[in-house]
Amino acid sequence: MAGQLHIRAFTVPKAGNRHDENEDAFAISDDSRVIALTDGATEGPFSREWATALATRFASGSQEGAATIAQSREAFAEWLAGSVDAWMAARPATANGPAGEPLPWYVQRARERGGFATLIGLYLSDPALGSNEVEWSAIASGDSCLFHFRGGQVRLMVPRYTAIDFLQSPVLLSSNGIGNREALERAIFATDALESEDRLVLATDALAAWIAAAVTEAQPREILAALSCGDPPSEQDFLDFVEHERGEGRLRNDDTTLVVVSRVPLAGGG
Amino acid sequence: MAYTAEISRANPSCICFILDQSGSMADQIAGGERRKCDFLADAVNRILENISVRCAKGEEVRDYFDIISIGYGATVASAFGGTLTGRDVVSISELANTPARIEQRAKKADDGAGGLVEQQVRFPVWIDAAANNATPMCAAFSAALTSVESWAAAHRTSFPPVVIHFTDGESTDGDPSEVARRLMSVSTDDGPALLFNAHISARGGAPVVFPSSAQGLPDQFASMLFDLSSPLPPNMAREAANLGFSVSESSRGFVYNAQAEHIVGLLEIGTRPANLR
Repeated sequence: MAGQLHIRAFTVPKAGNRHDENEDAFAISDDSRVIALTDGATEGPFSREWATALATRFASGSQEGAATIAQSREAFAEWLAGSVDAWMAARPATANGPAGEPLPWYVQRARERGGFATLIGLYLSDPALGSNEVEWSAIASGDSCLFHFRGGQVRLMVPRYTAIDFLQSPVLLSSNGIGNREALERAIFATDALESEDRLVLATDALAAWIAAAVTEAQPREILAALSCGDPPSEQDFLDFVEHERGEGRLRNDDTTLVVVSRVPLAGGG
Repeated sequence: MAYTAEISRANPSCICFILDQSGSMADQIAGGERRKCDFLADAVNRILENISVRCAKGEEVRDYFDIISIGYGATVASAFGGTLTGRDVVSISELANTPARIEQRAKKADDGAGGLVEQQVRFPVWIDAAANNATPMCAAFSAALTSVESWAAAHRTSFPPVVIHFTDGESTDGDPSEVARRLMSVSTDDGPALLFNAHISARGGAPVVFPSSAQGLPDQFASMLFDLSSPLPPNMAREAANLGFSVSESSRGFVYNAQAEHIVGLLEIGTRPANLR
């Protein structure tokens, strides 16, 4: 089928942390046309939950909705405001505990502070009848990145981060709405055609920085080749790669998530 | 490289406050209307609140820090009140769960329409203001040394303890240099303990903030406190710069003639030793 998409996605927590402490999240719609990747920031008490909520909400909406959000700042602003409202309604900072007692003071403060997260929201179009064209659109906020590979080369990186950019604190989407105006202004929207041999790679910041460095510097390139056009890694390959590169000091010890999107079947059951 | 240990529940760090509670702390703070002791107690309570919330994951406070608080004036003792009275080292989760009391305080907040609205907020209090008698600084440093030494011995792989000392006057029980140097030589595998000093001003005068040399300090007492202050590690220097302070690579964790903003700044900087896991 011309329009079928093949996806492989893995996530691994920071070394020393448990899986339930991983603050990265991804979500993929049933038809594989809507994909969200998020990275919750350590500073927020509820970043893990907020990241998961954003990813789930993006990928569980309608295709049309995701397409609009990924293409329009206004639509994204509206969607984000709805996400904040839903979050605040579920975790009111003024609420009492189950027996009506006031929440502990620090739970109230933690709820007020909420969570902070990045977002890559990706939509891939269904090819029109008789056509082979697939178009992707994405909204990117923060330092999680999307790489569009063609012929093994990076055609587009969204956002276009340098090694220095990855060292700065990104502007993040917050669950309490504070600061979201700046995040909205800085959000990046991109769209392009996905040709049949092209590859999209979504990565949270540690891996995104590794890929950006591998593209420009003499770093081990086998994995890059595998990501960009060859057989993408199996889960075990991915875990081995992360452990090895962390050990070599080339991959920052952070929660690390990879999503690979291809139009041709991925070897190894992808 | 020193001061790079990550802070986690398996590798918590330790923050020790040493608070001058001598009689002169009842004087007004320079540039403000409040007593120095009231301002300092509020600032430390607020930073304990901030640390607790920074350690919150979901609705649980994780033990990334142990806290020590020593007050000196009429006595030299733990400055914690309530059920923590007399306690030496307290984990941040126990601290969060057992403030001496929770006060209602008024806070100005954005009303969403460009104005300010007054809100009542809960303000946890662990430490009460005190201002009595003399300034037994040597005894206070000795008490801190005992606590910090035993903490460091039990946490060899942790980020080393950070000791933040606030005073408004000279020691009345001798020269604290020797015991302070012993305190600065307490180490974990990640480096020696950090000692930061703030001299709080009542008179005003130009503050000296995070200097890199003793040049220009007004007297021997100020020079001594400079000598007993650790250089800011890179993480903290960055935090200081983020807060708008002018710092260099050799800046010390020392403020002379500190006013309100410097007290709050030093607390912010000293309690962010490294990234939390």
